[in-house]
Amino acid sequence: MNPKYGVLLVTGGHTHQENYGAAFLADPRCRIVGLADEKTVDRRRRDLNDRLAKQFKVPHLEDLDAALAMQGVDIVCICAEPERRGRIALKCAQAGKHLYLDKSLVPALAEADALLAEVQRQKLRSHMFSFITQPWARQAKRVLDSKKLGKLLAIHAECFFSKGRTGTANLDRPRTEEFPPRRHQVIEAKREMDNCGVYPITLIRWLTGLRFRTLHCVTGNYFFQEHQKHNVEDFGLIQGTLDEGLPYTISTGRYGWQTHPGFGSNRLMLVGSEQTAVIDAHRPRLEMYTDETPWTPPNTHAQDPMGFWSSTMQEVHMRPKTVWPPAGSAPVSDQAYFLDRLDAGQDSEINVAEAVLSTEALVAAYQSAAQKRVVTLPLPRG
Amino acid sequence: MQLADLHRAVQAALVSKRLGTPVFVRYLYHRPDDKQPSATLAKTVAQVQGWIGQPLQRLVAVGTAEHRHISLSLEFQKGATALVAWTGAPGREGVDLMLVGNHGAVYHDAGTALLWDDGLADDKRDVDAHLVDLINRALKSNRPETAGGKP
Repeated sequence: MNPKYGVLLVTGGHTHQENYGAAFLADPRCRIVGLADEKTVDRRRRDLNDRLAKQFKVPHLEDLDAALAMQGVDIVCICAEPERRGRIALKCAQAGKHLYLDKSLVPALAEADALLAEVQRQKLRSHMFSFITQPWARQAKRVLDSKKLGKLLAIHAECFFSKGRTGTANLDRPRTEEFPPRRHQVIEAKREMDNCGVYPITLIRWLTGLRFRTLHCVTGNYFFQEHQKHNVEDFGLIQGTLDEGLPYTISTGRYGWQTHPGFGSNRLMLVGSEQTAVIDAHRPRLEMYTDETPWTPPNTHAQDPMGFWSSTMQEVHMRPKTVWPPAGSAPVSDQAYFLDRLDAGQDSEINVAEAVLSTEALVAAYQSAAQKRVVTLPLPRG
Repeated sequence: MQLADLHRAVQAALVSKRLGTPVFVRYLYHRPDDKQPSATLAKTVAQVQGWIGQPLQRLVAVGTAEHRHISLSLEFQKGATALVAWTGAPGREGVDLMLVGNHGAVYHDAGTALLWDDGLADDKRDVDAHLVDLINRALKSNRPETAGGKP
């Protein structure tokens, strides 16, 4: 079978490209054209890009402009750091490429709007990574669509990542949020309300089809000195209303390797007029207890203390947690989902237009947390 | 199991220090026949405040009794937060709880079992009228209401 899609990867090691690129590489519909990035990246980034290109056995293309001008590039998979993501995605859209985008879309609303305008002008297909292909998210969608719950009265969505060595934040220094956020990601830490919170925000919009109308948010530094040192939050609590005044709540963040038996709490509560459904990524589950040595966290990797990346976790020999072994059907990979939609001539359910709504909610959340007030959406532009 | 048993168990977990300092509580409860949700919410807020051990600073409310759902986000003086929500839709009574400390978490949910011997009806504590007033103000104002640091 001749691969149908030429895929250009943008940005390499120590990003989610380690996972996304591997999935595109393994898909018989795809041929990886190369791994590219902006010419101006620093040496560390260039070395990490080179390392992943070598691992994938694909060309390392140091000039993104030249790479975009090559024949046979249909899709660009962009995993650049949040601060570079907007201009890179816009450039790729201007080159007429379909976009597979890491989450969250971009930090600034103006960047998101500009990208959407270009994607729509060029009639491109696009997709932002999300949880919508997870079986439990699909189950929630089926439950809502079946109307078994009656009229939806409220929704709660939760996403916590169980990674990082907790207990090091100074709790005597309550967080003071800044707006706009100056940075979203450093080597040691990410803004976790954005990084984890984008999932429940996207799910609520996807499940209900409703828009965020009011939003109140509080952020915190509860767990990690790394986040506190770089003035980025490790926790977020969001509450507000959707269209028609429907209440929603979101709790999210990164709370430590040993705070959960699995990868973290991922949970939806759908309150209906007839029934309430709690849908949990870990229910139903298999539990396994043995006389093996109990799971312990991996050693801290100096270049990735929070356990963001697959390669660094391999380097510190992280063992999988075993008490709740995987059960149930494996999800369709997010990359395969996007390719399936392309094959069918359909846009993704989480295209750039949808991702912009998540960006707007995240921007509103930081504004609310900084100004300690309820923010009304849509946010003013300009 | 009764509600007071659950609350005592959580308190015991906190006293054990295994969780570290409590920083966030998610306390969602389901009580279809609640005729005075603000009063029940006030009791729950008081319970959560007791676990957090900090004065309540701000409270934001969303929802209405008529729509059988009210959620409260709470901010405490030293930065801890909580989400307390009541749902009055039909179905079994129960509590969905997560208390997160800076060294661990405790979780409780009803799962698929019938855990509750007599539902949530055994909470005989007095209602704090100031908390009820604060909740009602927040429900009307749609903005953060200050608790005045009342412990």
